[in-house]
Amino acid sequence: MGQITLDKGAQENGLAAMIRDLMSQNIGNHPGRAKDLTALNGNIAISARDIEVSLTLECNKGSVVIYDGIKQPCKLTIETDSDNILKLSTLKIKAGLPYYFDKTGREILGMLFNGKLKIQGLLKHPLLLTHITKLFSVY
Amino acid sequence: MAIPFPSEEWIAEYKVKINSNPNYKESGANWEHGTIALILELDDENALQKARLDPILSKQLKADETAVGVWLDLYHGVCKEAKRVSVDEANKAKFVISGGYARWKAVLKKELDPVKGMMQGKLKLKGDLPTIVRFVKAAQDLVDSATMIDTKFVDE
Repeated sequence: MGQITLDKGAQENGLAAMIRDLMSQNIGNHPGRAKDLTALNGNIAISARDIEVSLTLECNKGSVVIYDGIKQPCKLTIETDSDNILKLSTLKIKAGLPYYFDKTGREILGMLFNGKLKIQGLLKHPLLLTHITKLFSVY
Repeated sequence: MAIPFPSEEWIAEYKVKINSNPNYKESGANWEHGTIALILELDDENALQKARLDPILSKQLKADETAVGVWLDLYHGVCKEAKRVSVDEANKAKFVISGGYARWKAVLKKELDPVKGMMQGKLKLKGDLPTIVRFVKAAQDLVDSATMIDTKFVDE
């Protein structure tokens, strides 16, 4: 099983600790998602702009190190307000894919269209986004 | 009359406020995931000294005690029990949220959103995060219940 660890410099970043716990516990609850962790390769940045907290997941095919701040180059950069970050993790997974056709899914699509949620690299790395979404989802 | 935070009387009133909050009754209706404990670290020397001078808190704080645990037994939108516990006991709860006196005071004054506080590292959460994420609204309603108490802060 892969490893998700916090870089020493990210110990005081609460969001980084939450993302680590969320991903680790999700894999514990859904062991099938371990293969999504193995599929992650490259840097993914998350920025909660309203509270000025950001982090980078440095993914290397099964191991993830979470750093404080944005560490370039990033394949994906997810930028939104802190409330919406938790909303992303309530997106349901159906037939192994994120499900956008219920209330939560439509809200997330709405945030993408009205700019409340910005995902740089969405079109270039859709598979990476799918894998990380599955690792974030609590369903 | 304002109740000193975090006295046993304050915790008893917290139970009353949770159980009279219709929003929590609804958002916590499916909660069957165990106990939640709050740990308040009296890390502020000024607050600790003033707590020892408070007529109510001084009787409840042990000489070597620098943190207080609040144990909440919640089930299906109802707080069955709320009590003051030691930090060791609080750490046995399924979910533990801990923070310093100033942080909790900011939460109770609605100056700090607890979820944002966790993301900023101002409050620490221990427990199954996927469960908490599914009950974020309930967590916010629990905090709202605490803000409804007429609270006396010992350092004011």
